Amino acid sequence: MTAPKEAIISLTNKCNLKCEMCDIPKGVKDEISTKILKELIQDLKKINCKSIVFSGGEPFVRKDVFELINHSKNNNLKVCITSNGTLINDEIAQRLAKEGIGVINISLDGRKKTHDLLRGEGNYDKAIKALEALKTHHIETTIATVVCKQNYKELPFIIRLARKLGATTVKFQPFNLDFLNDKTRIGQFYITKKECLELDRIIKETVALARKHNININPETYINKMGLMLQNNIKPQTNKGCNALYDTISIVNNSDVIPCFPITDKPIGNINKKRFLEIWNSKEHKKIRENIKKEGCPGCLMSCYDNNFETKVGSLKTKFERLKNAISKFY
Amino acid sequence: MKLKSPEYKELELNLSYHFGALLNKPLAKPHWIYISLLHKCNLKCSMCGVSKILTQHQLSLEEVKRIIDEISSWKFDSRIQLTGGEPLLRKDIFQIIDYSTNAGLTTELVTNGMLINKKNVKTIIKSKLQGIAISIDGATPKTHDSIRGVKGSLKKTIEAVKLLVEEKNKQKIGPQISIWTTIMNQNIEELEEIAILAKELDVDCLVYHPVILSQTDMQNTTREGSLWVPKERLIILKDQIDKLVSFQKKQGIIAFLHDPYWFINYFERTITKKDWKCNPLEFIDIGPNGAVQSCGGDFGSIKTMSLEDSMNTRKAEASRALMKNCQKPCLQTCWARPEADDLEKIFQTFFRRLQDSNISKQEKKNCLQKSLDLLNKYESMSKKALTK
Repeated sequence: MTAPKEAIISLTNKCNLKCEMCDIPKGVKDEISTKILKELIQDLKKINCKSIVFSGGEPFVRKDVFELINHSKNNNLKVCITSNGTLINDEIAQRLAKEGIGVINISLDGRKKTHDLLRGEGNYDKAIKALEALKTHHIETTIATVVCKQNYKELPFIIRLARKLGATTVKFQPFNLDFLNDKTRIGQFYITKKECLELDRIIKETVALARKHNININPETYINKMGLMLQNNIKPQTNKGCNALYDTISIVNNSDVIPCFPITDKPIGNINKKRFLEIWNSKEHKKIRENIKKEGCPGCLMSCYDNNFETKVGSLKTKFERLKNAISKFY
Repeated sequence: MKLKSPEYKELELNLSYHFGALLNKPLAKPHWIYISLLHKCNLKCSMCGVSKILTQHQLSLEEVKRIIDEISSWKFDSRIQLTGGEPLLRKDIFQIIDYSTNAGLTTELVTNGMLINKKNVKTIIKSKLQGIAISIDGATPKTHDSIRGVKGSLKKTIEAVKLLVEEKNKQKIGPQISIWTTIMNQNIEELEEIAILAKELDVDCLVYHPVILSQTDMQNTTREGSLWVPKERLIILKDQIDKLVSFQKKQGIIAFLHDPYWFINYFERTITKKDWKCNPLEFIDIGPNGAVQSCGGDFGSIKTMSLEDSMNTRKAEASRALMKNCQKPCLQTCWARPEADDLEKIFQTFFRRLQDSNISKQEKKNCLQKSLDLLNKYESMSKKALTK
């Protein structure tokens, strides 16, 4: 069985913010204990996993973040943390650099007015400060944007901001009704047909801008579907299946190991009851993998798995651009 | 401007293999060229299907010379592996060896050693062979002889190795003396003992390869057959590999060409193409009837066309396409080029070598400029080929 290169671990559903388009903080109050997380990290190393993403909620509300980073590094795993940035100041950034953090992914949803509208007043400035502090301490940063009615016009701005602040990548995640418990609110975030036409034009501009400034973004085949995704929640199918169970694996707050975020009802096992390694090697796991392969993927919008949309030409193109960039940097 | 820097040359080579495989074009010449001089053999090895077919064929000396002339004209670092059947059965074997080595080609003789004796050992050692590879499949006569189908074969082979090593020490120069062992169900208990034997015999190098599944005319193994290591015996294999790893740390001589624990994944059938894949350009085999092939099928015949032309035929393309789709990664290290599998890794290696090298700053800049040109060339080639 191929082992996943990356494990996405949710550290908590808690968050210090109450963003308009996100009901994650209203989720289960469980958290995986530090002890179990450390065992998980060791087991991930044993199956030759290469990197870990700590997500949530807001990972930095946990007090053991640095302990977990340290433990991951001792097990030779690269660590990435997704964050709203509000709890990252210069001191934290310095400490992160010292602990050998791999990448910090900061959520940014548009210009100050738009971002604060969605995420709360004052938080744009804090996110920018976080990005600046991380840059000062030479930590690689990336930006994540939830695309919705409120901010779809500002995508080029975010690319320019990424360039200004030295972020290497911007990942766009179209708003998804699954982000909210109260489905009556979803209409606030979806766009109209007319707005979609505008978005298609903006996407073209955004892609060109990203290419010009060498900012990595989602695969074109994914980005080009954002208009559809934001209109009526079309779940795009990839034509080559999903590598979610093969290249990535997820562990959520109730300690379930799941193949991917949309498939929470088919957990492979629970690390409170069994070690991850045991779960990984179990018959149930093999069965689930085969079933998922047989049944195929119902499709999802999660940008975590957007490289499934990557075409051969597209991925080569990206590789070439990155390499040319690397060559010119070497000069 | 032709760049001489080895760092750039390595990049060029790796890129030609990488894109040759990706775009299914013979952009690079094969690195390993096996010439099966005949299929007749004085042994009956259980894992070998070769001696059962084409035994009446044999490339003539003229044909072999013609092949060598052509390969030499490429000025490419191709390695000639003289094999068969048993090459020493040919009376003109030393003429062939001399012709190949005099053409400046790195040549290795693959043999069971049984026909090496006091009369010809000096000729072998004084020939300009780069290497001689002798097969040993067991540390005890019981195991080796039963695998190889002839009683007394281990004894004879060990004597041959002793003669070679002695003569090489006498001449103070000579081919690299290697032992090749095929791992299969019948000999897994003796893998460490074989290493101990190899060390005692004072050979230069010991290489292990797993028995492979039937592909064209190469071997006649199946996964259900008796040669395959079954699940319940993998624990023995693992224990032996542990011992080999620690042996190698203390005593050297074993050349691991990949993580040795992959042998377990191989027999467990969990090794995937992400771990190990062939590069279809890396090797070709020329049969005693002149057929040019790799494991995807044959390309053509040197009796009717040049070697280079045979690699450009439709059949060659189809064969390489088959190899790319092969779902049975086989850890045969002559057929893979892991350093050329990943584009970014190729460049990382190039950058690292450039950083470590002693060439001038200006030369480094030239290398980088050339590498950019090369990348652009492959980019447009790829675009054309993949958007057809």
